[in-house]
Amino acid sequence: MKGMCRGEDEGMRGKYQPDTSKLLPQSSYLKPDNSYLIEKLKTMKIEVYAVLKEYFEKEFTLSKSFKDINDLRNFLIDSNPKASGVLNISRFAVDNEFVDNNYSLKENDNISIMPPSSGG
Amino acid sequence: MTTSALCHQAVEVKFITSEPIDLSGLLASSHHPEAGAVVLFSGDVRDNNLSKRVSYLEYEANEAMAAKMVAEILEEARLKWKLNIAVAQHRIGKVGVSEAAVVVITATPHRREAYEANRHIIDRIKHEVPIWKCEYFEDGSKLWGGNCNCHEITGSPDKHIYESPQS
Repeated sequence: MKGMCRGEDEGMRGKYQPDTSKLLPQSSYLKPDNSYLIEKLKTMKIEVYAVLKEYFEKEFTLSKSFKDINDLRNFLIDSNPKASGVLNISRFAVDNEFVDNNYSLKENDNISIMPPSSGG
Repeated sequence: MTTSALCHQAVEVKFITSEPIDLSGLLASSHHPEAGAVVLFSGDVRDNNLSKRVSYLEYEANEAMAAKMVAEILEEARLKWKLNIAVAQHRIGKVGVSEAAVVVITATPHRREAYEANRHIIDRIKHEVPIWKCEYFEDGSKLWGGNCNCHEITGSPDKHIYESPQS
């Protein structure tokens, strides 16, 4: 839980902003025709909540394939190691339904990443 | 579904609201001819936490998920305790000291069930529903916190330890 309780100033530094140029699937570049130019870019929309906003943009997209939630979480931890503590205890939802760590991610999934609740 | 119709009245309650909670209005709407007990819990904002003076809180929610979950929690409790009335509302946005951040109202023929169900509902809202508070202190600092820490004991963000019996 350490690292979740951060001051405003410190937390605003080093937010992860995806470099989409590096995230395009390699296969897109290798297609023999130009279909990839008109193919709708397959992306995953991610929205984070509460303290996670101090590590990531509120909403961002990733154009990359992930096997499952574990895969995505590990990618985000690599992107911003300071967020590992809270990412490891956060719940993930796809299209507003909670999913477990083995959920197989599909292109165009809308992901919500939610730290432990603190309502009331 | 983001609102609940009280069983016998045409009053609709938004589960998640950015408006101040109308405690007396909700209570006035929560009397039921078969209910001899009405319990209202109001979760208010304290002026201190962690030995620091609190200016106000700011709540954030995944509104769609939160509203759906509150509806499900209320419905489960309504069936389990045969509640005549089950109402809950959580506020989002800025909430000042002494203001209500959350309210739960339960009404049953006798008080035992109304108390039990009320406590069950607020426990589940606090632990499970995707709502978060950020505390703003008088010294200018802020803190996302008061998190549910059950995972440290249960090992899973989906398993919780409740104050009230859940069986």
